[in-house]
Amino acid sequence: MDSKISAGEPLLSLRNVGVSYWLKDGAIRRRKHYALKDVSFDLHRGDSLGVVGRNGSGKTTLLMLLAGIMAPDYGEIVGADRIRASLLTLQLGFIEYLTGRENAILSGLFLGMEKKEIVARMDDIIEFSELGQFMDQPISAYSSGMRARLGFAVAFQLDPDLLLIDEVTGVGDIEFRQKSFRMMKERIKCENSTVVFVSHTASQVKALCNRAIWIDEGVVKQAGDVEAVVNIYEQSLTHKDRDRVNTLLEKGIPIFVRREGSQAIFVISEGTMKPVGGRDNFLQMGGRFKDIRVLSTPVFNELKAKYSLTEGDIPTFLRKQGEKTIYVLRKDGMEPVGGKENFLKMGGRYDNIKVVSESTFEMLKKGLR
Amino acid sequence: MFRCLNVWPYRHLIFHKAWADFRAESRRNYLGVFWWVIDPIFNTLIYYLVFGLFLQRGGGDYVPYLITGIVGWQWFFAAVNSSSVSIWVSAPLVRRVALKKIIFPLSKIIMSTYKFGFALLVLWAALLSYGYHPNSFWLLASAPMIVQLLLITACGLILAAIIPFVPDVASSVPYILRLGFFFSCVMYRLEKMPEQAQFYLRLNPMVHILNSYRSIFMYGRHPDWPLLAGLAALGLAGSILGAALIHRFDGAYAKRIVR
Repeated sequence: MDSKISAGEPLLSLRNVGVSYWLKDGAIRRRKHYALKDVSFDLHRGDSLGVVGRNGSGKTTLLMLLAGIMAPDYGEIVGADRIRASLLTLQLGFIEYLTGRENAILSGLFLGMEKKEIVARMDDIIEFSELGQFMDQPISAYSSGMRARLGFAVAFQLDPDLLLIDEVTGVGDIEFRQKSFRMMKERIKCENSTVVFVSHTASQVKALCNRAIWIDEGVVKQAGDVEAVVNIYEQSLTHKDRDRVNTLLEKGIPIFVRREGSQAIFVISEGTMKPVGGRDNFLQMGGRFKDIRVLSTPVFNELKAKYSLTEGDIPTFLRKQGEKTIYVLRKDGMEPVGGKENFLKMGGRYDNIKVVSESTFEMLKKGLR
Repeated sequence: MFRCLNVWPYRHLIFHKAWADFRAESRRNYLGVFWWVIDPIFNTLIYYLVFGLFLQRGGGDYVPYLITGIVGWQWFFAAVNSSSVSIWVSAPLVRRVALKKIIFPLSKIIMSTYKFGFALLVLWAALLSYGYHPNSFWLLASAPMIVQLLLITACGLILAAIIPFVPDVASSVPYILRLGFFFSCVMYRLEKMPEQAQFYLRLNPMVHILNSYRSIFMYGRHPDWPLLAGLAALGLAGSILGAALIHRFDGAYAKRIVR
């Protein structure tokens, strides 16, 4: 805590900040591109500020600016020199042939922690990452899930004045994913921590932040209370999405869509909309992942209504609390998925499985909704 | 002005990174650290075969002459080669954390110096087997070593500072270093060269550094102290320039380095 900052004074304030990059335009010609043109806002201690905006609107540049990784071309950031800001990064600086313990120290040092601090917290890191004896094995022997766990456990020890997060996602297997996601949420919602959080998912920002700014083409379009800002942002997205989808539909080619925050892909072609059902199917239909339109919830629901797609057409995956067997819920009832292969074929994703209580489970099984 | 030289807060990171790279490299293959012992021996063997045996150059003390040059040069080569691209290749880190970028070249230089430590043991063993006995006079060799470290730091930092902006320089560094190898009197003797060639070779600081090692270890003679002092000043000035450049461009690297 810094005593120099009085209660009402902002922790950090950005005043008319701009950042430009030189983009290559051919072999020698270069073009100046302004990622941020004019950004001003104040950040107070305990704030959790959500930053929303489309891809390429300058969100990531803003985080890098706040982290001190980049210097602004013009404008000023008041207070940057008296606080420690860190961008949450997993597996930073990991080296293959080093053990988990050696990498934890290296990564911690890169994240700005003191060596003593990391060594003192090593037991916490081991416990949190659930690596046990693997901690003294080289990470080249780790599975990707184990690496992710170690990376998260180290990064989570970080306690800067200002924590910067680029998308909140869980890591590792299902259990650890839920645990890490929960921990992140707690950290963001905690009153003592100041967090700036960038996300594509409007609902996540609403759930986690108290304030928000909407950045579009390098300028702040809206700032203020999270509900208000995110709602305006979503409305604008809805208009754009609707226009885009309509243009595509007029062309008469199959289009692939998914709702933001969900991974289930749908295809609209020849007057129908139906779930694609798995990666293999998707590829067989000629789909390319970069062609998938991510739609805001309202537009997605409009389409669903237009093509009279009912809930039952979309498979829901669930499992009973405390049990591992995954079930798929359809219009005509519920049945066990029967193995990982099948599950993936049906288009299932582990992070989309709903965990239900025993009574709810029994109710669903009997066909009651 | 000298704020750019303040790396004290980063000492743990610099040394841990150097040590980590060192450990990682030693675990990469079965023989591990032995490769650093084997490396100068193999190199010496190759040049001895080509120049000593086939071409009949060199003279009686050719092997100790050669290995002293190779061990000294290899340190310069490895350190400059790895540190020059160190900021550029650290893009993922540079774009994720606000760090003084000088830590990347410095940790590479330190790691190469660890390796040089191993090579030095080989050098001393070789000298011993050729009848040169270690004595207190050898301690003087630490002076040209410090000068060489300053020259390495100068080259490493200046190159590391500019390569992210002009990546083409990175491609030319190996050629320049190879040229440096042939013009540093590693496998031939300065005095045996034609007059005019000698003049140009003397412009290369590494010629004097390597000959200083030979003077001390092999001939029991003092090196050219005023010359070494001059080179030390050059190395120091270059190091400060390099550090200042890196400091000056600190906020620009994250923008320039695009994966």
